[in-house]
Amino acid sequence: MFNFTLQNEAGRVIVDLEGDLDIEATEIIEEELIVEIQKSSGHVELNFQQIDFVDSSGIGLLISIITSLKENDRNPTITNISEDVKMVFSLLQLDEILGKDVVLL
Amino acid sequence: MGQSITSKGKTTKEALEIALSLLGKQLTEVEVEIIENGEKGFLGIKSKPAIVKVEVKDSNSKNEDGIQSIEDFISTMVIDDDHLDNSLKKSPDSLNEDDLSGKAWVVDGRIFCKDAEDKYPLIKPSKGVRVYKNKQLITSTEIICEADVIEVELVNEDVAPIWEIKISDDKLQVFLAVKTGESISRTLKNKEPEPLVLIETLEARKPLYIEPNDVIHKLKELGIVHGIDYAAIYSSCASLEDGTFLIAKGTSPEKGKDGYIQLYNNIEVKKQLKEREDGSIDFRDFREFPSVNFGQIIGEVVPPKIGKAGMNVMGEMVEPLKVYPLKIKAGTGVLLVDGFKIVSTESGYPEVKMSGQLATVTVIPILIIYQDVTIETGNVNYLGAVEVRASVQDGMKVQAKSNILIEGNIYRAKVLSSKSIIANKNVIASQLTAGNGSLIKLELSNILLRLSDALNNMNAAITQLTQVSAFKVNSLKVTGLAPLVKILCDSKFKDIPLLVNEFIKKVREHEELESEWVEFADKLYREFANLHISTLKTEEDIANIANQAKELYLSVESENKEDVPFINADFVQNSEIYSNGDIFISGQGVYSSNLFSRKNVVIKGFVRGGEIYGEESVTINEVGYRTGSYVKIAVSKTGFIKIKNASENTTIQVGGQSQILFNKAKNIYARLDEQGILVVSKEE
Repeated sequence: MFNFTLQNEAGRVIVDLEGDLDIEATEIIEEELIVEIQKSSGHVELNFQQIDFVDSSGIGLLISIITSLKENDRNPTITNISEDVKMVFSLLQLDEILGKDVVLL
Repeated sequence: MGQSITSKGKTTKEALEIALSLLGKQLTEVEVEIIENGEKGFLGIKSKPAIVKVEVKDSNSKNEDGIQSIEDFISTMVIDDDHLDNSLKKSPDSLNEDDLSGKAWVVDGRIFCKDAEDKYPLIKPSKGVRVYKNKQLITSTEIICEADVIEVELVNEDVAPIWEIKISDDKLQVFLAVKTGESISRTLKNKEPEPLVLIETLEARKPLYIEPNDVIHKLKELGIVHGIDYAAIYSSCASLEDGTFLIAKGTSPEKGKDGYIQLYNNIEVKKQLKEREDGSIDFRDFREFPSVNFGQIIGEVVPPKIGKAGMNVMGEMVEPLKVYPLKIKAGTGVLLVDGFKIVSTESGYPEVKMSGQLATVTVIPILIIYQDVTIETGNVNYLGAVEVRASVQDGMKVQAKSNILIEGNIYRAKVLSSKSIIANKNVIASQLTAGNGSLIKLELSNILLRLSDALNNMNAAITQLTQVSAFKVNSLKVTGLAPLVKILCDSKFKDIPLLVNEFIKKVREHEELESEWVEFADKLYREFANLHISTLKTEEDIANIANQAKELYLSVESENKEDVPFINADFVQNSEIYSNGDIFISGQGVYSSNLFSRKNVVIKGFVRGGEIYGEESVTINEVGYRTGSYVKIAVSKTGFIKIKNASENTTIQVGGQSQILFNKAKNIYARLDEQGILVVSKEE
């Protein structure tokens, strides 16, 4: 299952993600998360602390979210990535696609 | 009587040893007189030295009793009582006394010294010996005196041999890796009396051998039972040098033979150029291409022959290398009968294309034209082969995807073949081009080789990824591989979309390519150019595409190796001849023409005027001279030129370097030497 909570702070919004970032999560992300982020403003931090599993669909969606946030100057970052998920990120060389300032591996 | 010496020691034995060592003689070579038996004092105090007088015997009166030990000798000696009172200090031989004063020496494993009033003898131990002075270990130069108790401890070393058994990965060989051992035993080196004596040792080294039974036992323990070479075990155990020795060898399996096509006589397209052993060229005068009629058996498929099994050192069977049957694909004009007979259903030129173990046999149809090609017949452009049984006239063009044979003259015309051309009469003021179709395939095959490697690497990356626990593999069953391939193509494998697009673009630009190229380009377009509609499900799908790419690449590779295009013409004048393979001029020769070959040029007759270039070699019988004519014979920097007879003014060029012959010459051979300098050997 996938869940998220939004915390608005001064000049930034922290999105705590929870569960699996996979094909089943795409619906919630596309229909709810993206809408909520669009309503907010400022720098976007995606907190990955509670993401344990990912799949290629989830990552594909993540790439398109980050790309559009960058285009809108929202300075997205992904934080607190667990070691296992980090391994997936680095095998896919996501830092190269997303930008080294977005995801620190 | 000879030389004599009187010496002194703590005991009679010692005194005698000293005397012998000073004289450098054996006991048997001297007469000994004991002047005084020593007296042992308490802790070296009040001790009286023993004194002996030793005289060298005449060489002919050697003691025939043989060598006695000093101890035995002394015990048999009768001591002359008269000398008993002689005091230690007043030795009869005062000169000798002075010589030894303040010096130390080493004899028979013991250290001696003689005190002096004005100096102390010094000793210095070295490697391999521990010297104790009054129970104290000496580490550097030390003074000693007669009263000191000097003890010597010799260091003996044993370095045991080390061995290890190594079994090859295929378990067909067992090696014994040996590091030899040795035992070093040391004795004190005798030293002449000197004020400072370095206490040195003599080393006796004895090799320590490996016990062969230990090795044999270990082999048993490891389960090695087959092919053991006991003689080799014994000899390697006794080796005096380090090394790795083969001590057991399994029986290698015998290689079988893959299936192949046996073509029937005269059908095989033989390679044109064959060099004889003496270096001259076997010139096969080809007047026609091998062809078949309908119903004729082209050849048959020979099944693979399985090899013989071997046995590894563990006594296990080793299967012979797998042999593969030849898969045959009957192309157009070919029928497979009884599963192994290849029968033509049309008349034409048979063609066998190998890619791996797949052979595609086709019979290429021939368009036969019996009258001259003129304005009336029109230009000829045919997808198969063309045979013109007459001449090609002024301004006409004959073009074919396969071989072209012209029986008559070619006059002011163009002949273009993607394969080879035979022109059996004169070629005058014309253009002949052979093998132009293979260039694009070469380019495409290079792309495919890179693509195939990249796809295999991508597969490896996917496999690695699916092993990470945080990656949900199950989703791939739902979505297919496309989303993942897309991510990989954006990051690690950016070259894949580039290669795919380049390939598709090139194939679409060249309509003349065979259907297999077009089909593969379409497949790549479907699966990679547009990942939304990609049907890639598993890694196997990607591997299949990589294999297909590799096979297409290999088909071009083998085609280039086996089916080299050529031009065979009889007589050439004022023409341009271009061949992607060889060029042969079998008749009278070449007048004022340009010949360009990617491989070899052979001209049986003469060359008068023009330029001849062969990338690998040019061989000409005669380069003739005609006033005002210019002749250049050239090869690449790795090629060579051979001319039997050349007139003056012939230009010879290898790589970028050229030379003009000033005089007539025979048997010219030109090439670059190892330093890259043009060397022309010739007889003038």
